[in-house]
Amino acid sequence: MSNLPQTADVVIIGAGLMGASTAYELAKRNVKNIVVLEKNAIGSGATGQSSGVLRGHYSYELLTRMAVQSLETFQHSNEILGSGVGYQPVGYLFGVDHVNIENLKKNVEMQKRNGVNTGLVTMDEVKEIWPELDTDHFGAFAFEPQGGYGDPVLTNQAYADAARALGVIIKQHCGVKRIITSEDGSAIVGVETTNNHIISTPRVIVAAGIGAHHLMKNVGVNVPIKGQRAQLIYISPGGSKKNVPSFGDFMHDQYIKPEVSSGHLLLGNADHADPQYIDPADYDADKYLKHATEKAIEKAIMKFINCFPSLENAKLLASYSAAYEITPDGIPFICGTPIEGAYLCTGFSGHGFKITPCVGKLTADLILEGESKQEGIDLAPFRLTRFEENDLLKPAHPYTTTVNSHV
Amino acid sequence: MNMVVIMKQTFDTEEKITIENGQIVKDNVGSIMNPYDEYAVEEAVKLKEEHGGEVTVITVGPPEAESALRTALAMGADKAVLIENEDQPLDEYSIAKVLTAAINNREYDIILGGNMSVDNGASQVGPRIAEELEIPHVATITKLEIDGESVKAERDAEGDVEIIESTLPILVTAQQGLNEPRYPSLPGIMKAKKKSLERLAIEDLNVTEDDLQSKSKAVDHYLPPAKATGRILEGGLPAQVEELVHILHEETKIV
Amino acid sequence: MTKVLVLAEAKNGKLRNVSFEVLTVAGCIASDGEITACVFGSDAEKYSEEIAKYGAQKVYVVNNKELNEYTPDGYKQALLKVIDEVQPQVVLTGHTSIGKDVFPRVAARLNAGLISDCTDVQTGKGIVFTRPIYSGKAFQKKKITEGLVMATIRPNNIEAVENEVAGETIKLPVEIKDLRTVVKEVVKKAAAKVDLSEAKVIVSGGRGVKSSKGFIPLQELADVLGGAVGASRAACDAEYCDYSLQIGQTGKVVTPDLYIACGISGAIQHLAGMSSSKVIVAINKDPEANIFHVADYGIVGDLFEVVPLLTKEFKKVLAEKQAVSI
Repeated sequence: MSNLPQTADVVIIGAGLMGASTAYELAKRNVKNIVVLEKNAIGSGATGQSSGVLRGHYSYELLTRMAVQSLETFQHSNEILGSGVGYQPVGYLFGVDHVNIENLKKNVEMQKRNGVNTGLVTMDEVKEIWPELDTDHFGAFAFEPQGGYGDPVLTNQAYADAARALGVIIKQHCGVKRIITSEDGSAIVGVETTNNHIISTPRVIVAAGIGAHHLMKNVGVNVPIKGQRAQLIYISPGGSKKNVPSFGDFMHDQYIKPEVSSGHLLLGNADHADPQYIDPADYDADKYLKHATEKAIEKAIMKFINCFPSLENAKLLASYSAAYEITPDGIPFICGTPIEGAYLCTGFSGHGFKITPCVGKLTADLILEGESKQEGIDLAPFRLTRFEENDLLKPAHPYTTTVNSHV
Repeated sequence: MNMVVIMKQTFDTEEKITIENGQIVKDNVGSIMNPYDEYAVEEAVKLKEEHGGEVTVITVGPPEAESALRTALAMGADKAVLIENEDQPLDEYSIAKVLTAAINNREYDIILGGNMSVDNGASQVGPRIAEELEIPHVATITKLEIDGESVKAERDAEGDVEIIESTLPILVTAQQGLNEPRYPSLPGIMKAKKKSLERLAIEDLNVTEDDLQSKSKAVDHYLPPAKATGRILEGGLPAQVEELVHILHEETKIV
Repeated sequence: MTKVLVLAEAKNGKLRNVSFEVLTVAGCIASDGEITACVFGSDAEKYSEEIAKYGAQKVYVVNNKELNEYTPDGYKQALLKVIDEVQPQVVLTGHTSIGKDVFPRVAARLNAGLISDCTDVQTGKGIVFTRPIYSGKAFQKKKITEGLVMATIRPNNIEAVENEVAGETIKLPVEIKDLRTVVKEVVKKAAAKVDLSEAKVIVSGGRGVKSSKGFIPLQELADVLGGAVGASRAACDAEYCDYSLQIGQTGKVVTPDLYIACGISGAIQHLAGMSSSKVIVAINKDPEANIFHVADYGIVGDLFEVVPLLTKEFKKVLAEKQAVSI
């Protein structure tokens, strides 16, 4: 690659949401000579497969804070980043069964305390928000008027463009073959691209999704990350309203993301009790099932029919399978590693989109300050060593219906 | 009216094709109902809605072809028949013999199929079956009207439209534009699981060994040469535009 | 000695070019053998001389007026009679709306194999035909394993080569009867509004179009090229245009001959809907945009400057062409 530099102050591996967001934040803080290397194209990895739901709702206070801080960027992206990110404030609805009513109340209180515009809504109010939603069997609902969805690929592009405007070099179709360490393996000295070009650098941020696994394995660091297949179906609901909200249905364990332009809905499975994993080697070789299985499609259909029994004209338009990069506890890695200068920013486990802006800032803090400078947000829960130290992030009031910490 | 639809489950040609040892690799690739057969299923269901009767969908294929049959049932077909064939390579000649044998046992007024399959693209099986059954056919239709025994069809003949008249029983093959295939409704998909799906072995049908001896055979498969890297034009904008138009109009003759 | 029979085809009073291409293929296969052709219709003998120019030593003419319009029954009866008379080893025609329609019926009647839509032929180790499969994404080589060899040849792939011989015209009497389908009318191709999924040319707009008005120059270019307008998801989500124009993973998949992407970044979700386009042209202000990675030709520039220039230049060039053809 004739126009790649030979040295850089920071090399970021992966120009997805997190890589681009981090590049932008570092450049904003006057870091020069930032190079981002993307093996495919912007938005081609987990970024492009994200459903794009925006919400402040989490049972983890830390993640709620990150979501709240991030929402501002989605709302004002034109001013902040210089372009739109497809933010659609159709609202975010969250429903639980009777068993989890108290958990919902406590979590909503926590979210309110942290600045989320949210509140419990009555069954009648839900009927107005979504007339065909069958509220029977649900215990309680919460609603965030400013939640909804955004466009992950547009967001990725916006961050990349903003970063480039500040001098960041972003190279697509240029993967990293290996990370190079000093002879004793204790520090980063550079990276080698798939075109055999070497960039000397003291700092590498691995924002490469599942790719982090083999990149770090080759320098002796075990990053417990793998792929998980999420199977999604795309339907035409045939309902009365086009502007329905994004919906976290924790009664049937599914989530729904609407599309204002078409009225179609994306249905995702939120039940992680039967996970289908993808080996990182298979992921790298692109050897995994990219379409949804019949069983998964039927499961999603049953859940939808149970929740919206009156929508008899709902039609199946398409289905596909996405590959999320997941960690054992569903919480990302935003941390250093035993190798000096090697940082991780990956493992967003299918719920990273909404916290992208904050993650960029946190990662920049990590590189430049060694600690978080974001108010009320600590970096310690995202460290690699949390598993061996048996010190995992625990929500105060976790929902009983979900097995994974994406809510 | 009794409608029989001949259907094929094909490779999803929108997916990437890989070839190993001269054969197409089929693992991890999605399968879909041949898009042209979707038009046939839709037309058959519409005929049923208009004239009453029953729609039977028949396919020859591996066990996985069941999912394409279920989609047809979800669209409104009444019965499905899977003639299981996984390993025996059957060319158009043999497939037509097998399908003819399966159809011969049934009552039909009209047989519908797609005008070609997107994986093989030969457009043979429909007309071959019509000949075997000794009935007339109209291929690549974009419109169909049935009144009693009278058939009126519009046939796409390389852009021209031929208005054809004929009578039942008849075989027709569908061209793009015949109709807008309905997406299966979610309740329809669940109901389809309970509709009749008959599984037959080829041995159950009245076909001879000769019938199953294909008359043609593929000896190699390969991918087209990789596209050359693109070119970003240079110079002032007016000059670039002139060059581009020249390339498209004079050189590649695309427009 | 190989005898090859070619079914030639005329349209609007002229022999179709594909017939010459098929005669050329017949020449390759027959080599020292015999090439025979047949042609149908009231005054079909007028085509004999031209057919002989491409190597047919004998031309069988079936004059029945019932064959002036193509019907499967009529052409089948005539062709079967000629095959019976000539006893060829190989029978060929073009993969046209007639060829692909009647050959399968004749093949079924004769219990013969048929290889359709061939783009090349090799002789040497038997006759091996090449044909595209999977919508052109791959190719296969195929041969007939026994008995009569029948094949249809895709038009515009094989160069017709003249090979003038002294041809003999033979009028063959055939009884054409019991035609079960009747052609009532033929309506010629009209310049109808082009549907996106069938369009041969698509001019597509993305985020860079910036507003619904921004699509106007794209529509103008599409009109000049006889094409349709498409859009990326970003443009539809931003409501610059209707969702029905959306091309991509959650929209339509198109396979035009020419795809002009204006202000489209080229995210893979969009590429999924148009990467099989024969020729891709990209116009984008950002030289790093991913679309340039898949485009055959690219112009780095403002689409609002480039597109009107393209429209003007195409108008000029296409008007010149019209003038010449009169």
